[in-house]
Amino acid sequence: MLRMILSITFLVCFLPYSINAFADDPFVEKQRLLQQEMYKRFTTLDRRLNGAVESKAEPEPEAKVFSSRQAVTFVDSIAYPKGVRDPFAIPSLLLQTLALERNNKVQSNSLSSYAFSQTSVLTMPKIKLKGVMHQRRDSSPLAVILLNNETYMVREGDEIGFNLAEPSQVIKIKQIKRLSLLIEVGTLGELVIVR
Amino acid sequence: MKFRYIIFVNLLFFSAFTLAKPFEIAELEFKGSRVIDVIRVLAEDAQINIIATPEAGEKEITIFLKDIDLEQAIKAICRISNLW
Repeated sequence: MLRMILSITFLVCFLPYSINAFADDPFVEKQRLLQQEMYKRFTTLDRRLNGAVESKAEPEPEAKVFSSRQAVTFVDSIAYPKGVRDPFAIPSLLLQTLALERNNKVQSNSLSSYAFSQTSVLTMPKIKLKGVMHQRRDSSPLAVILLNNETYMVREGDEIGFNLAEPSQVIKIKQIKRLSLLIEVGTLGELVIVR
Repeated sequence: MKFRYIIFVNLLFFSAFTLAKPFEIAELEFKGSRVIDVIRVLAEDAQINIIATPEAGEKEITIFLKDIDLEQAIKAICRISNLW
């Protein structure tokens, strides 16, 4: 009991002192400067990506870093909420990559930003219907298709993986008709494109 | 005893009928396909074994058959592929 009281007293007395001692630590100061430098570079890059014109008369961004409560850009609002870097925010490298991709997409096609977007990139395989067989009994028709230069014999409801890079991407045979084939293309559990 | 005999005869009759029932194709349509793909479809659907040599299997055929049984279909395929 006495030991516990002594340890608590020690902690209460010496903890503020130890924190104060760390405040002037050169390591902490170095970390703060590094953070400011990173923020400065990050903000400049973000503005450049967003197409903002850089002006030399602009005030130093580090003056805003920890004093301003409002986010400078959209990226700031994610990485620096309330002016302090959030350790759980999206990494800056990922944000830069996403911003670059977004810019490229907008430049390549102005309508692409309004198009249906997916989490994974789906590649539509080239399919050729080679033949169909219907039999008199009540079994479903059989079709022979040419997919990526390989021949597959399929029935309705069959699923075929066609992308070696992403095995979850499949085509599903919806319907076999005399002259056409209705298929769905997508990832397993989330089939989206029908043709 | 008589009842058992009737059941046995019935079983024989139905099994024989099922075995003898020909595999009828309502429609078979292939365009520029290899013989091996066509016979693969036939073997799968009719649940029979068909074997083709590699040379025969690689031949390309275009075929459209309607209301035909399996034997006639195979004969037709062989005939147009110069395999008969």
